[in-house]
Amino acid sequence: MNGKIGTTQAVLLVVNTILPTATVVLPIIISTYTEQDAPLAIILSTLAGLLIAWIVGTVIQNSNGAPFLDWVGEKSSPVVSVILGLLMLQFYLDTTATILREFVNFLKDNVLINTPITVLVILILFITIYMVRQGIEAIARVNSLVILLYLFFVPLYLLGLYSDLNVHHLLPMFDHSLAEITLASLTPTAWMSEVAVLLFLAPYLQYPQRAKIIGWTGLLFVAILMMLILITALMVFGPEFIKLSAYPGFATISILRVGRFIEKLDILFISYWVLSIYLKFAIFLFVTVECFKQTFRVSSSRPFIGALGLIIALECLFSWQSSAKLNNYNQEGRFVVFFLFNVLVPLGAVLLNRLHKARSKRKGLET
Amino acid sequence: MNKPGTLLRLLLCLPLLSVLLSGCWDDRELNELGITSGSAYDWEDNQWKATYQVINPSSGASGMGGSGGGSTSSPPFLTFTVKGRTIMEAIERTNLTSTREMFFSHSRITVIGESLARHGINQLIDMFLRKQDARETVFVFISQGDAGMILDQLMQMTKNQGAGIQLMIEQESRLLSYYPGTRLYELAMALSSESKSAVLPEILLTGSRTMDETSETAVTDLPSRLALGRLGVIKGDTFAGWLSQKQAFGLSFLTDNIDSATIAFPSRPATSDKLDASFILQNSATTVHPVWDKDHYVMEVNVKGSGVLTELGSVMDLNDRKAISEMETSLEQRVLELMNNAWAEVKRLGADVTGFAVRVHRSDPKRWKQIEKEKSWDSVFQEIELRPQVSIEIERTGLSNKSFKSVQQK
Amino acid sequence: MPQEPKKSRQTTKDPVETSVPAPLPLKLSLEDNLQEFSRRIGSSSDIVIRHYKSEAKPPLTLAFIYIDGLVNADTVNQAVLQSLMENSTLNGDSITTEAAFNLIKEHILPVGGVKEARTLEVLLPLLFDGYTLILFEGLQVALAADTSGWEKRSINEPTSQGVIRGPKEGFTESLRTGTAMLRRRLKTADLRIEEYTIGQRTGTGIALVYLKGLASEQVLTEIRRRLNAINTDAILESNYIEEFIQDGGLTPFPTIQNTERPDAMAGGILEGQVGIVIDGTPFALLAPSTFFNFFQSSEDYYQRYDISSFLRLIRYGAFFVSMLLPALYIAVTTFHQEMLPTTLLISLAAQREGVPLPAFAEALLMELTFDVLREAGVRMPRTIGPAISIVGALVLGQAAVQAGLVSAAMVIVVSFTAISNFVIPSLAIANSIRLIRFVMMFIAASLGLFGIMSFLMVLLIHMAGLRSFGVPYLSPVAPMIPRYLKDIFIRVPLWGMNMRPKTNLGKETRRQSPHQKPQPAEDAAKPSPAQPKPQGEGPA
Repeated sequence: MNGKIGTTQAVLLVVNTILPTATVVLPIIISTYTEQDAPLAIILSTLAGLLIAWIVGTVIQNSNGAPFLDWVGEKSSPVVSVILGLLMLQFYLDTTATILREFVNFLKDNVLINTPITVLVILILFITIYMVRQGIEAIARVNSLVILLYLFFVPLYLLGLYSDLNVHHLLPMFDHSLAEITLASLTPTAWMSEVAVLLFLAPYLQYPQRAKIIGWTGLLFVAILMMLILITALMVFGPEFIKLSAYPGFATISILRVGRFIEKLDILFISYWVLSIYLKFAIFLFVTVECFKQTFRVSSSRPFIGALGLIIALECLFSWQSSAKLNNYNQEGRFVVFFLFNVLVPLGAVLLNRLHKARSKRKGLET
Repeated sequence: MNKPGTLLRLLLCLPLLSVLLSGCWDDRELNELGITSGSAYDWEDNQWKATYQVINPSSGASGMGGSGGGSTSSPPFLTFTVKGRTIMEAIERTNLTSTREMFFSHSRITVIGESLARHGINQLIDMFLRKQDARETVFVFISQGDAGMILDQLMQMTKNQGAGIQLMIEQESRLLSYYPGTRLYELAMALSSESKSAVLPEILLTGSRTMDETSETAVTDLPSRLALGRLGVIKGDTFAGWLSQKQAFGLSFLTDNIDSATIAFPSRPATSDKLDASFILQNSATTVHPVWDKDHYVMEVNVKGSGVLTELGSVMDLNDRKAISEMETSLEQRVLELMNNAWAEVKRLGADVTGFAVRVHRSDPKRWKQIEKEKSWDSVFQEIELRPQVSIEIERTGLSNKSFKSVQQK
Repeated sequence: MPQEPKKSRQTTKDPVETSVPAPLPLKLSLEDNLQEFSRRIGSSSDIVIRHYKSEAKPPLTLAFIYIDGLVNADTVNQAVLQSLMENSTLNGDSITTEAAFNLIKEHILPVGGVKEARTLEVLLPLLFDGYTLILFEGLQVALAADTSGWEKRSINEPTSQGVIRGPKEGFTESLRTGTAMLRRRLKTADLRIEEYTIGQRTGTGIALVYLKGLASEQVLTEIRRRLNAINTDAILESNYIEEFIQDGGLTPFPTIQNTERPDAMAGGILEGQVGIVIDGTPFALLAPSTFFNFFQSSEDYYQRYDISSFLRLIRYGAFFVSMLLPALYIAVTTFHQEMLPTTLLISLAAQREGVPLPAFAEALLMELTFDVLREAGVRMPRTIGPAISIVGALVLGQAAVQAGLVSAAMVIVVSFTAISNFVIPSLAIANSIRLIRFVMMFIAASLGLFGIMSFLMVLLIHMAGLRSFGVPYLSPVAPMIPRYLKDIFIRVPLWGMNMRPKTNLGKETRRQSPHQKPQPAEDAAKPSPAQPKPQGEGPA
C-alpha cells in the first residue's frame, strides 16, 4: 500500500520513534549525572533536538519528499549516495538491533525471566515484519491509536502517585555545573536526534513541506512526557535513590496505588509499553528497509524485509549479548554515532543543496 | 498470492507454533505457589536466618472453600525458617522443605531482627530492589528479639497476618501518627539520602508466648498480641538505638509526618500539670528552615496545626476566648516539649533521622558541598540548635460548650 | 493478509461445467420446438404443456408451457388460457399467425409482463421464473407472459436481529419483496436498484440497492466489478456473495455487514452504503462496512441517545471481554499473580487446590464445552431445546465444579465470556472473535500478557491495513477524524448529527438542517438564525 501519512499521524510517529526506549534508558543516565537537575538536561537536549529537527525539516523541504538517497544522488553523484546509503544502512541496522535488544532485555528483566531470548526475538521479529509488510500507513494508524491511550495511562499514573509526590525532592535547583548538565544532555540529545528517521519517512508524508513542524511538535510532545516521567520519578524517589533502580520510570509505577485495591500495576504499564515499543521497532525496521531500498534501488522491498530482519535478529542476539556493553554504548558511544548520522548527514545535505543551488544559479547567469 | 508461497509460509510458522506449545517457561500454576505474606530476617551464627510466612489457601482464608473445602482447623498460614550464608541461598533452601515455590509479590511486611539490624541491612535492601518479584512496597518493621517469632503469631479478625500488620501500621499512621509506616523503598530512600538515617517501627508481642495454634485464637482476649512499640533508628546501615513512643511522636512533628494525632495536655497549666484534656490534631504542617548562625546551624522549626477539643476534665467555659487561648498555649507547650525531647534523643544517637541534612542541602547547597567534602556532617549535626515554634489553633470544641465538671460544680 | 495490487484477482473466466449448448433459435414447426424443449428440460413432472388449436381454418395452433408451482394457477387459467380461448377474433377465420401473435401480445393478454423471445436460451430462464410461454406454429418467435406466483413465506419478525422498539418486519427469501420493502422506506427517485443474475445453475437474482448521489461511484464501480467477476454455478445464500466480493481474503474480520432488517438496510443506504439483496435468503448485505459499523444496531436510533450511547459502550466492553477474558485469566493466574489483590489471589488459589488440569487446559476444556453446547443448541430440535440448558448449566457447570474438575472461577469466566459474545449486535463479528479467543488463550498460556499484547498488536495492525471497498476498516478512529466520532462510541442526539459521515468514501453531505435542538418557543425565536439554505444534495 502506498498511502500517505497525515501531519498529525506523522507527529505521533515521531513521538513513538523516540519515547519508548527513552523512557526506559534515559532517566537512569540523566539522573546519574545531574540528579535533581535532570529536567534541565531534558530542556537542553530538547533545544538541541529542535535544532536537529530544523535541519532535517529543511532537507525534507528542499527535497520535497523525494527519497532521501535518491535526492542526494541527484544533487551530488550516485557513488556518493550509494556509499552514504551503505553507511546509513549499517547505522540503522545497528540501531534497530539495539532497540530489539533493549526490548528483549526489558522483558527478560521484568516479565519473562525464564523464556529463552531466542524465542522472544523470533516472535517479536515475526510480528514486526508483519507490521512492516502492512506498510507505514497502517503502522501510523495503529501508532495514533496507541498514543491515544496516554489519555488513560497518564491520569492513572498521576492519580496513583499523587500521595507519594514530594516537590521538595526537586530542590535545590541548579545544583550542578553547566558542564555536568551538558554531559547529561548528550545522551538524551542522541535520542532526540532520532527525529532524523523523518528523512526516510519523507516520501510517505502527505505534506512534506510541514516536516519541520512535524519534527518540532513531536519533539515537544516527547519532551513533555519525558519531563513528566523524570519529574515524577524524582519527586517520588528523590535524587539519590533514583540512581539505584535500573528502570526508574517503572519503579515509580510499582509503588503506584489507587485506593487500597488497585496496586501493583506494573504489568499493565509494561503491556502498554510493549505496544509502543513494537511500534518503535516497526518504524525503525521500516526505515532500515527503506534505506536498503533506496541504496540498492530495488523497486519492491517486500522480499528483503525478512532478510534484513534476520540480520537484525542475529546482530541483536550475538553482538549485543552483554547488557553492560549496551549500557556503555548508550552512555558513551551512541552520541557520537547518532550525531554523525542524524545531524551531520542532514546538515551535509543542506549544505550540498545550497552549493548546488548556487552553482546552478551561476550556471544560469552564464548561459 | 500463489499457493505454494502461502503453504511455505504456513509451514515456516509451524516450528514457531510448536516452540510456543512446548513453551510456558515462566508460568506457574496457582497451586504451585507458596504465596508469601510476610518475611523476617535475623542474623545468627554469622548466617542469615530467614523466616517466611506462606499462606495456606485451603484453610479457607478467603472465607470460602473451593473444591478442596477448607477445614477450619488447619492454620491460615505456615512458616518456614531457613538459614544460609546469603539471603537467596536461604530462600532457595525453602525448596528443601516446602512443596511450593516461594512467591513474594504479595508480601506485605518484612521484620528485621535487632541482631540483623546491628549487623547491617544493606544486603537485604539490595535484594529487595534487585529481585524481580520482591516488592519494594512492603512495610518494614524491627523487632527486639527473634524476628521469626513475630510471624508465627496468629491474629484475630484477620487470617492473613502480614496484611493484618499492614492494616495496623496504616491505621496507626493515619490516626495516631506516632510513627509513619516505613515501606522498603522509603527506607532505602532515607538511607541513601544525605541524612543516611532512617527509622523503623518496632513490632512486638505483648505476651510472653506466641499464639501459633489455631485453637488458641478462639478466645476473646488473647493473652499475647502483636503490637507496635518503639521506634528503631538505623544509621548508615546499622542499628543505632531506640526512640520511645513519646520521642517518636515528637519526631513525627519534626519531620512533618503528622496526619492526625491525639494530644493529651493540661487544660489549666497555670494551676495544675495534670493532663486532663485531649485534643485531636487534624491538620498539621511543619516547616524547617536551616539558618547558618556564625558557626552552627539553627533549625527554625515551625509547626502549625489545628483541630478539635475532644475531652476536658477541668472547670472551664469554652465560650471564653481567653480560656481557649490558654489551652492553645498549653498545647503548644506540650508539642514543644515533645519535639525537644525527641531532638535530645536523636542528637544523642547521632543519627539524622530528622532529615536535616536534606534540608541543609536544599536551602544551602554551597555550604553543603563543603560539608560533604569535609565529611563533617556528623559534627555539624551535633552542633545544630533547634529553634522550634508552635502555633496550634483549637478550631472547634465539640458538641458541648462547657465542661461537664463545671456543670456539676454549680 | 497483505493486499497486493491488481495481481491477485483472476480475470480470465474458466467455464463452469454446465451443459450449456450454443444458442438455439426457435424453429418454424411447433412440434420441433416442443421436441427440443422436452429434450432440454426432460419430462419433469412439474412441467405442463398445454396444446391449443382454434376452430378457425386454417387453425391457429399454439402451445402453452409453464411450470406448475411456480405460476399462479388462477392467473394462468383466467388471464392466459381463458382470455385466449374465448377471444372471438382469435377464433375467427382468416387470421394469420402473425396477426394473432400481435393481437395476443398487444391486446389480449391481461398480464403485466409480456416478453417476446426467439431463442430457447432466453425462454428457459423465463420459464423458471414462473412465466408462461406461448409458442406458435409457424413462427420463430414466442411470447412469455408473467404469471409467476409461487408460495412465499410471509413477512415475519427477524429471528436473529430482534429489537424491542422498532419495526418488526424482516426480509423474506423473495428478492422482490425485499426490494419492495426498501422502496417503501425510501420513497425517492434517487433510489436505484440494479439487478444481476449470478450462478450458472442457480441463476440467483441479486439486486444492488443504493441512493444515487450518496453512494460513492468508486465503491459502486468496485462492487459491480467484483460481482461481474463472480463465475460460479451456485449462489444459495448471501455468504456466497460475501466471500466472493469481500476484501482481504484471509481475515477473521468481516468487512461486509449482513442484516435481516429492511430498516437497518435503509439506514445504511441513507449513509451512503450499498445494499445487496439476494434472492433466496432473508439476509442482505451492506458494504462497505467498517469495524465500528458492526457495533451499531438499528435500535440505537430508536431509543433515546443517552441509553443508546451507554449500550454501545457496553458492547465495546463486551467485545473485549469476549475476546480477552479467558486469555487474561490465564495470563494473570499463571504469569502475573502479583496483579491480583491478595484476597482474590488466595481465593483463586483455594479454588485451584485439587484441580488436576493446568489453567490453560481448564480454560480450553470449558471453552470447547461451551462451543459444543452452543452448536448443539442450534442443531437440537426445538422441542428438546430446554434439555440443553439443563445439561449445560447443571451437569457441566455446577457438577464439574463440585467434582473438582474445574475451578468455580473458571466457570464464571467462561460463562461471562459467552454471555458477552451475545451482546455484540452483529453475529458476524461475534463469530470472528470466537476463534481469535482461542488463539489468545494459547498465546497467553505460553507468554502471558506479553503474548496477549503481541497478538493484539498483530490484530491491530491487521485491522489498520484492512479496507472494505477502499474504506479503511478502522475509520474514523484510525485514521482519526474527530468530527465523525459522533456516532461511533456514543450516539449523539439526532439533532446533533447534521452531516452524514464521509466514512464510506462518499461525499460529506448535509443530512438535515442545523439548529434543530428543541427549545422553548420564545428562546428559539430570538437566536434562530436565518434558515440556512438546504444544501443537501441527497434526498431530504
